Amino acid sequence: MTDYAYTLENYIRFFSKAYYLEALLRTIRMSVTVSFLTLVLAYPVAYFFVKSFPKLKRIGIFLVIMPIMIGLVVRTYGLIVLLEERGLINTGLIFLGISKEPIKILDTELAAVIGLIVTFMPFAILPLIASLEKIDTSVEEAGRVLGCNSYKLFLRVTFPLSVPGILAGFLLIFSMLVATYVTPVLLGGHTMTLMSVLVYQQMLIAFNWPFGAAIAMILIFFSVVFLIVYMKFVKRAVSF
Amino acid sequence: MNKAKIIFSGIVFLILLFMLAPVIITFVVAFNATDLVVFPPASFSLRWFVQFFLNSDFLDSTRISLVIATVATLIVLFLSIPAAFSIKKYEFIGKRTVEIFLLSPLFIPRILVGVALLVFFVKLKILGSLAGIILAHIVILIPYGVRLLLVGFYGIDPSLEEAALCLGAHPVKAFLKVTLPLLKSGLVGAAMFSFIISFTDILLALFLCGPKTVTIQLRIFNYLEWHHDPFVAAIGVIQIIGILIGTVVLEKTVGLERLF
Repeated sequence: MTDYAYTLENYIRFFSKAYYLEALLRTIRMSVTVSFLTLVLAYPVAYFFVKSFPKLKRIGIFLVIMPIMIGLVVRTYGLIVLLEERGLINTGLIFLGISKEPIKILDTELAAVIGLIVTFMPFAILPLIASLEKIDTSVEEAGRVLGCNSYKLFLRVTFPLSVPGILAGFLLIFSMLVATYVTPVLLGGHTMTLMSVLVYQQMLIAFNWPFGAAIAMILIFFSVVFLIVYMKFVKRAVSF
Repeated sequence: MNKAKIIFSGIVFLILLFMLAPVIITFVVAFNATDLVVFPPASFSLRWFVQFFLNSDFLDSTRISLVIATVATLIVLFLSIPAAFSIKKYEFIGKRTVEIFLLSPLFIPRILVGVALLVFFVKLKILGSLAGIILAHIVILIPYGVRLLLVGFYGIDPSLEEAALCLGAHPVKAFLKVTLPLLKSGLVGAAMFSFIISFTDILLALFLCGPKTVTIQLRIFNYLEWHHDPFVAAIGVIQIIGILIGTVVLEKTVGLERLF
């Protein structure tokens, strides 16, 4: 172990190289995109289970939590098989005549995004179920009595009341996504140089611990700043 | 049922299928007879399961993971019971702070916990040792243990323990004979959950495992970087079945809704 002295050199190195800054931007962009898409897909599922009868809801919660319990590595393997050149998606596309040749999905950014959506969907569904459950059914009944049809009722009453749950879900998965490692590495191949990948490389391949630690701190700093800005913005949006 | 409702149910079904696809696919592929992953499989066999039970590296890693998960879970329960008990029972200065402190490892991304412990463990000279990995797992499991046991403690009627005390039981005896048995389902739930979290961990393993302490998840991860054959699916199926049983136990004991 070498002796360490205090210096800002590692931070300067990070911010003066386009390669590292791009990784930071890519991480933030990927986290925002995946969080948004995941919530869009998670919402109907949560809505469906909250509005269904209790027994179906229990089955639903079981189906949502089961993949979380199974663990990242095995689930990512399933995704590899899904996205491979001879995988289910390509077989399906060729079978349906949409494409003649298998498309390269694995080892692209698209594969990582699809994989992350699948991986994080359970974490988005759970807070949405919790918030949709809290909505007082008498408010919805009132809307119905006052002449709303189902669509209007959803758009004017249920959806606005579930906004806090949507924001909570966004917060939860965004904070998990900024530090995600396994899924992008196994599915995105070398296309996904994220902050977490840089941290891993510096700590375990380059053995440049001070620089690795600096990247880790920058990652924490930006995710906290993002969350603070986001919460300020949310507070203003909710108070309307 | 009107048309819109049927369409909506269909969409929900498709999204759920998408979410569960990796698990379903793993199940089908594990029984595939060929080296190449072909979907759907042309012929079925159990050869990949046989191969797993003949592969000493993977068997060793499974054993290591089971040891880590068992020991870490037992220690976490041992530490969480008094913590949850005092938080529930006593009022003291800084109680809220203690509670937040015990939950704090949850708020830090696990990969960064791994980075921090890597540096720390080198100083302690326990990097790559079984003890080090168990210690790291205890750090990340404590929040879950404390939280689930708190749920358990809050579910117990405090008048029962008071009754035992009134009837002359020593406080320790009252705790062991009355409170602890009532806590049983909370304990089983916390143990099961800790065990699963520990067994399926990969992010700590990436940073802290040594050549002799490769956990099964890390072994699979390394294998996946180079091979995509159905071998992993067979291990996946064994893991999924074990965890499915565990999840059913969790549902029966603490209830799945309380986990996250």
